[in-house]
Amino acid sequence: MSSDENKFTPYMRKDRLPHIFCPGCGNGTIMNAFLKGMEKAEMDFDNIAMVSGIGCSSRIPGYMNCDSLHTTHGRALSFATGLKTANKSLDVVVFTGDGDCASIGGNHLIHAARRNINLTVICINNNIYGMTGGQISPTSPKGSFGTTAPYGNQDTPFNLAELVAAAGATYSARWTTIQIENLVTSIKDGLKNPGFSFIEVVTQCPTYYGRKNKLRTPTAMVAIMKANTIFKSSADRMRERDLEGKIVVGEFAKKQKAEFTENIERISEEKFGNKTVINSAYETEL
Amino acid sequence: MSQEFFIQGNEACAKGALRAGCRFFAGYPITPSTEVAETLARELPKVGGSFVQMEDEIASVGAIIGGSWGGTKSMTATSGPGLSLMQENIGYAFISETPIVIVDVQRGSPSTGQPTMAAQGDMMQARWGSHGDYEPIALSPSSVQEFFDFTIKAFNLAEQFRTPVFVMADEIIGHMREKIVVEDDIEIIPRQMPEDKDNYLPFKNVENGTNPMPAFGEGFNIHVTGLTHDERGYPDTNDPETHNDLVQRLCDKVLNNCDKICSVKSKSCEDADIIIISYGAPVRSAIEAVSVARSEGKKVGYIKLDTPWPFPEEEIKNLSSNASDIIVAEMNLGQMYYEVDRVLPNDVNIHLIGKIGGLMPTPDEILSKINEIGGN
Amino acid sequence: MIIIDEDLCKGCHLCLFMCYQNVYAISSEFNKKGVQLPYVNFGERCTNCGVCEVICPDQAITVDVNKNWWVGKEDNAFNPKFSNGRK
Repeated sequence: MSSDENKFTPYMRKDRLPHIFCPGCGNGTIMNAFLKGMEKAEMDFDNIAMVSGIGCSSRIPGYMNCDSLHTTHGRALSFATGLKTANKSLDVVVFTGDGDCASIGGNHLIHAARRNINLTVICINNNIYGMTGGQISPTSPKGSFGTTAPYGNQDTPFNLAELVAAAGATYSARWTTIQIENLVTSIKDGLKNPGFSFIEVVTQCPTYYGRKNKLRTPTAMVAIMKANTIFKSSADRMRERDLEGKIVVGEFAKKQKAEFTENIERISEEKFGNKTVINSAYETEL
Repeated sequence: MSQEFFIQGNEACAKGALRAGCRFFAGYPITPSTEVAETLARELPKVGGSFVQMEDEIASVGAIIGGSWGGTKSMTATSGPGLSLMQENIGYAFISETPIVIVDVQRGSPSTGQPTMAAQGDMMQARWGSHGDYEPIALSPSSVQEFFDFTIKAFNLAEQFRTPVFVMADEIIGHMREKIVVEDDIEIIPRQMPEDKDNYLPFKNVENGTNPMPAFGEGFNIHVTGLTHDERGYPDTNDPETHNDLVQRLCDKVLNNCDKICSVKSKSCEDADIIIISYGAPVRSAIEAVSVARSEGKKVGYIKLDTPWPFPEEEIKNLSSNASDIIVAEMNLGQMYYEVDRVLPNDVNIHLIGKIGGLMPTPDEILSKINEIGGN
Repeated sequence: MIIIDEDLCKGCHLCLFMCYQNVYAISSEFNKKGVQLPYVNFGERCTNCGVCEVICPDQAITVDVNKNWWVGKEDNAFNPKFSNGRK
């Protein structure tokens, strides 16, 4: 590879670039961070299958040059569960958004975490529904504005990384798009973790969240995000009211537990011997 | 050589799925289809397959679509309320051309209805349940043997046409115990792996035959989406022509092959004045009614729809060309009745025996209808 | 050395914000897409940290690969396992 070629575009469907994301959208950054994390984890890109739901974040697999499944709203994790169970050798990565996985797909999220199935979920949390035009999402901060909250959001937002950790995931972390080194390392750890890995990336949406909340430029949004970020180790020593409106970053779960597809295989192997055939649909005789 | 079993309909369905090569089942418990899941939970690990009890029906059908792209024949089983939840992802399976099999053991409805009683109220749900235009394939068994056979046939049709296939059974067939005969040589159609990695187009129009379907992880790097897409699978949502080509092709795939898909069974229709059309459990009453009526010298025949969808228009038109009266016997307040009405000419009188409440139309009810019409 | 792909850049200026050595500056002119492109103003300050390369949402920035700390000593060959879809 020549040194003047971009390091990320060889992994992408070049005929589809530039992508549809707005100027300054964090999704492109997260694509880069994922590819870096994947390189650092020494994964085989050809063996990666990407699954996504609906939303801005879920368009990412469409730009990646690997097998990708762009599914229905909120259901990405159920498709990924089937894909991983049917072929355990695949490395399945799920790209999802806050509306996709916390709102319509909330049930699938907690159940996938409970099963501890070996998926790497990258949840791109921009605090708003971008693709439909700026409605508030379950992670919109209290008091923020959206087209469906013209007088300010009154609901308490979800803390996704904590929620997933509580539901039984073996790896759960939250970072923002500006802590790049941490994010890359976290994605690497998530990919290597043999269990359910959840990485929430808080990102900027200058087009909708920014416009509704007086942060029109990407740099203004990123600056506010940077100023509001607190590491978990410091946050643990702070009072709850001081943490209001802050983004707590860090790792919320890192442990080892039996994995879902391994369990299925173990029972089948111990009792009846190894009879699993990969790509069994293509066999004439089973 | 062949083997004989005395088993329940739902168990026969599970047996058929295993025989057809199904190695992945995702489902959610729902009466009266649960025995399919229970049997497969017991049997799939024995053959190296996977059984997953999902969190709901939406996730179940999502998981089997994922499983199918993972290179495994996949199935789910449910009943009316579950089928309602599945509809969005069934539409996804149509547009993404994913072969899956959905078994619906129908129960009294709408809503929770009569969980332990039979009905045929989901026929139109299978036809029009998801949004948009599509042509489903549905098979309707009327005996335990047929439940076994049709499950295998459903897998074959799904692979042949790369489309979801419904098996529309009902509680009577699902919970009935009968003898079935399992032959040794049953035709199983395997999936085809494409050969040319460089020029392969996953969503290309193939006039005669099947566009081969790759599995994920084989290096084809395909993009599967529910958005309107071109032959490569890349979204192209603003071009009216792309959308028209795609949806038209998905419909034509089934409609142009009706002669291969559609199947009816009939008896003594050639000279019949009155023909009974039915599918599923009510066929059993129709057969009895015809044999009684014939013994009384009345010219009565029956047509049994093996495939309610696509609706076997030509077959029905041909078989009933001499009949003056048609009786449609079904366990709903008239669903296929209107299809028959649509297909046949105006001078044919069409009568409905629509029985709901959980019991099927009896031979006596059909016979009294025949007498009422005045068959001779 | 920093290369900016003018066709891919959408002008979000995150590179400018993230660079702690203030290497970048913004052009006063608009290009044909209406984007004020960033340009390398103080190239000699660049430490090849590669943050701009990763933060760029449009994959428009490339920093000299051999000195980049993102790429470790062993994997200079750029992920040898990747076959570009020809498994």
